[in-house]
Amino acid sequence: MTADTGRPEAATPDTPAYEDNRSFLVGLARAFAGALIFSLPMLMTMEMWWIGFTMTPWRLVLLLVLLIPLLIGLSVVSGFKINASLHDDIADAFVAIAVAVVMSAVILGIFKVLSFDMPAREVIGKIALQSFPAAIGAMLARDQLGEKSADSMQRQDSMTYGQELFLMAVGALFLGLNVAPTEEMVLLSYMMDPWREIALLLLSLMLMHAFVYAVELPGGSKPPRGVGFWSLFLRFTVVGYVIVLAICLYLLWTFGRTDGTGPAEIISATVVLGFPCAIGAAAARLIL
Amino acid sequence: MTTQDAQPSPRMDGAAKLRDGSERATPTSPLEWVAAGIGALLIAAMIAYMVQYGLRERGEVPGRIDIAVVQTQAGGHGHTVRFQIRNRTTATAATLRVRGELRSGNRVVEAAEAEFDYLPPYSERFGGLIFQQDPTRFELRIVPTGYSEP
Repeated sequence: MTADTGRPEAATPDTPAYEDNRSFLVGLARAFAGALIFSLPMLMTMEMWWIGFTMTPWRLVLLLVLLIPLLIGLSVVSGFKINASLHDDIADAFVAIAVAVVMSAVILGIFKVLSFDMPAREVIGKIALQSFPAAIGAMLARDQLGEKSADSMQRQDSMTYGQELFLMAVGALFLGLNVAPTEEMVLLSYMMDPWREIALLLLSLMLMHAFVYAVELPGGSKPPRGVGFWSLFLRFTVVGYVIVLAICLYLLWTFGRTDGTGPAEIISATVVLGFPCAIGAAAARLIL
Repeated sequence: MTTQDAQPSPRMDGAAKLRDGSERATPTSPLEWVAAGIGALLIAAMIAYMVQYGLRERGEVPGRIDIAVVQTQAGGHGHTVRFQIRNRTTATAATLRVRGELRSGNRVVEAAEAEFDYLPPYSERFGGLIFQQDPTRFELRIVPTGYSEP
């Protein structure tokens, strides 16, 4: 993670290696900080520890496999430096994973959620599950904690529609992962009657659109002046919300909340979790 | 991987790297490649472990639970029997209830209960049962009485 340290960087062929290493170490420190900030709520959530060893191993495998392209995509879309090639994006992604695993192991060890006499399945399960949010945090760190250079701003301005949607998905994960594993998602869906769920769905859409409109998605996807309300609403808010619901459903399934549950309850839990996810998605530009 | 350089080795020299038109790109430092390698190893190991675990795992029932008394201590509210409980299966038992009885022949003199939130596969947990009577004077039997599946 060669973070931009603010100095004008003209990577001349005679750049000494230590200079580069130094800025990498700064980036590494940022990555640790980002992983910690992003995943602290999850590190201190008991469902995250339990799900780590009670979930089906295959779902955990799928989550870890999906993490890799997610991180590479994140590096491409909102990475701090413009990487020369996909090479560097891949390197960044794996560095983020290394940071996430080390950080999760250390913090969980301090909390005594992990100890040496636990079986491997329990230890690896807990670390693997926590590494997912932590790695995303490590990846985002450079953008969040680093000063936004004109460079990266410019890059954010020239996003394609697909990249915008990808960023929305990451924003949804950013807020949603904090609550997705908790029992409360299911509990709320039991408590709420259908009318309240419909109200929550409409509120999610309204707030989402307010954010989309306020942030006024710039860039390549920017609607030309005088573009209709419906165009923006359909292209970003509605499509974004569909992506959000798909992510919510995937998270609930991963955390075993959909097992043996009726379709009506699954839908309502998805809408409940969709609320924070929708706000995270719409505000992605502000918070990421 | 779009390999632009002739040598995709992690030990590559930054200067030898091609930068396709982008002036601001700094080459990935050797240290970063080392860290990336560690990350790749870690995630590959986690995935590999989970895959082999998934292949080995049979739909077991957490029935094989061993309980062993560690120590008995008098004082406080009575006699505390500290015990260790082990799960010998790949299934997780949630809200596992354990009941201890002091028996004199066929008669149950006193009973105490403990509950464990989770007993993960192949793990051990410790708990305690508190009796008013001295457990050493009776036959002590500790058995799991129920669990729920997570």
